[in-house]
Amino acid sequence: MGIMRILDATGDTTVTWSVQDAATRERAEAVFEQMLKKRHLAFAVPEGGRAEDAERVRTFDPDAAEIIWVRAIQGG
Amino acid sequence: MVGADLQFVERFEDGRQLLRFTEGVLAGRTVMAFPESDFIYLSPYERAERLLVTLLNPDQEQAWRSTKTFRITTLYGTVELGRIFDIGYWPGADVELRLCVLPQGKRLPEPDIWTNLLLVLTHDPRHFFTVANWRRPHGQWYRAPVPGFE
Repeated sequence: MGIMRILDATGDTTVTWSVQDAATRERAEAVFEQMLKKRHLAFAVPEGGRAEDAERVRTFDPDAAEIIWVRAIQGG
Repeated sequence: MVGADLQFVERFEDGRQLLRFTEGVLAGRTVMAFPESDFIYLSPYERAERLLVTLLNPDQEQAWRSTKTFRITTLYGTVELGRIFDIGYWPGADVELRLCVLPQGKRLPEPDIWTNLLLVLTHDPRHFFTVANWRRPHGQWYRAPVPGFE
């Protein structure tokens, strides 16, 4: 079971998938591609991992435990 | 079988269950069932803070709970996240700068801002300092990049 968290005004919107379930996996992969097109940044976090354990990812890995989508940054 | 038209697929450690419809127009589709205890209303701030805390190490978490700030050590010095428009940066002994960096786009709950900056700063610190506007303590603001990251 994997979960994607997309940061937004609600805190985050989640998309979950199961490796065994093609429909949920394909939907999650489609969301991943949409977020890439928006130039957001994906970090895969292993189960129980901290920020330093996260890894920047550019392709959807259905075996990932958690993927957090953040935005590009700019000077404020 | 869980019910007349639901088949058990997988149970997760946190109590969630993956179920599959076996009959009707939803046959073959799956649904995630959450424990009743999961249905606690969280404000966007609380939800964002829950996520942020999962990414902090024990020292950072303790600092966040007591001061709503936490520090990150990078190759280029220490950064203190927690104050919008006033991020502390100590590139070396006796040198302090204040930075302003934000996620692009619509406003996020404040802990999400720190989650966003924490992940980018941890994994691409040079980029963080390249886009940060900066000032000396009590000084005027300058546009990015921070000195040394031109």
